[in-house]
Amino acid sequence: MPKIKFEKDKLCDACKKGKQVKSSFHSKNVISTSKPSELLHMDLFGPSRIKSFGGNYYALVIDDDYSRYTWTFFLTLKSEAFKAFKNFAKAVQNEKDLNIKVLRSDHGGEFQNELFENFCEENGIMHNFSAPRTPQQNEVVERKNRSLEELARTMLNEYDVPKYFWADAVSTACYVLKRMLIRPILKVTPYELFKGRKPNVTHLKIFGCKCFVLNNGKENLGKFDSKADEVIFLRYSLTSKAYRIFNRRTLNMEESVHVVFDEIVDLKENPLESNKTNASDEEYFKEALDEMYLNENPLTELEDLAKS
Amino acid sequence: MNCFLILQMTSKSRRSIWYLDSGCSRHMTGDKKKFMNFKKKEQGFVTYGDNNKGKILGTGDVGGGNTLEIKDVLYVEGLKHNLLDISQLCDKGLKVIFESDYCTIHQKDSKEIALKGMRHNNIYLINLDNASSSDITCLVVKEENPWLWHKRAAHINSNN
Repeated sequence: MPKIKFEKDKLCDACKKGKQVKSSFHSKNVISTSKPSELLHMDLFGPSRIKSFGGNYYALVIDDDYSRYTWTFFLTLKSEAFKAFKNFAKAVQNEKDLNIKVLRSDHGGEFQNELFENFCEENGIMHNFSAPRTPQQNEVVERKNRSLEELARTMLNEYDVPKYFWADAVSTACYVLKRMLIRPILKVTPYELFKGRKPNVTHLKIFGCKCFVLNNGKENLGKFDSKADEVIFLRYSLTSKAYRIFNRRTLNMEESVHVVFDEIVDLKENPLESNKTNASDEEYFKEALDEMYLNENPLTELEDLAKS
Repeated sequence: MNCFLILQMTSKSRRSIWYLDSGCSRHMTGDKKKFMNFKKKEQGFVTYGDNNKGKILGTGDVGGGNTLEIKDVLYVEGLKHNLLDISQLCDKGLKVIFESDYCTIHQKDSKEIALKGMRHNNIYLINLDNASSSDITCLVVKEENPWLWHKRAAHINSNN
């Protein structure tokens, strides 16, 4: 090789055309906002293959930049995103007495439309978009989506809860993340940053675990009817201090505080399949009985009869 | 560096008991297992009350986890007891209050007791193992089944 001193003073066109790659994205190590609801990240995930119990296919995730407090809304259609956001924006501005200043989302049709534009204009909100086809710039909420989906998947798998409860799993994941995450750098939970007080975690329960709910005057029970129903725990109610549970007897979603949880009894036992195992036990018994019955009537006797 | 505490030798090995000492010039210990992070650094000697010398082998932080973290502790060769230097605690923004039969260590602006020590004969002792810290990361009490809490917390990552 001859010794060449090579200076990179210009770009080689052919090289760029043949080899250019995406630019890299660096996470920043500073907190660029100082108050909740100053900057909100928004994204929508779905459609899920399975309709949720409430009839929804999409989830709208809104993440506050400063506190990383998260809200999830479940939608049947993408177009409902604006209505959900409008209601949310009013509620959150009222609650915190702070105005939403900046919104950040991708170029999805559910965010980049006239309704959003008008709303932002009226309320003096800046709407930022990530660059087209660059979800990396919408990183905050995209990462939150991943956390929510992963936790939801894990929880659904744990007790083999039917997939149509995915919305409840996502809601539970969101509820727990707000209270249990520690915001890097600030070392505080999102809940504390947003609400200004420490979260209470003593009421947290395992998603999908077996529990019993008292029939609190809901039905007219006879003296010797069972007082409680076996149900599975699905999520924490966001509007009242109660657990939301699914009653397998009535196939209804209920909210109640009179719930007793059965978390510790063999953590591997599957509450939904407890009936099935009983059924298979019965089958096994039947088979065993049949065998005994056959043995008691030996074939030899029948053969003898046939011969005679 | 000087260290003037006269130690009462006790037969029991009290490994996590620390002596509160106003006379010594730095926190020091002779037990390397106590360190959370240890930097090897030979810095010279510590002189004891009887003019004997102990070699300083390094520095590090002690505690952490569910107890209060104590920073810049010297590792001294052959030292059989653990010494907490009051002046060094005060430099870190802590407040040390001695009562007739116990002593307390506070964060400067809060009333919450970070550590509590007992008086034993004429010296004040602190057991760091019993001390629980008011650290924000301690959301869940450790005595409960950690797997149960992992499940309750929606299977959240638990590396930290």
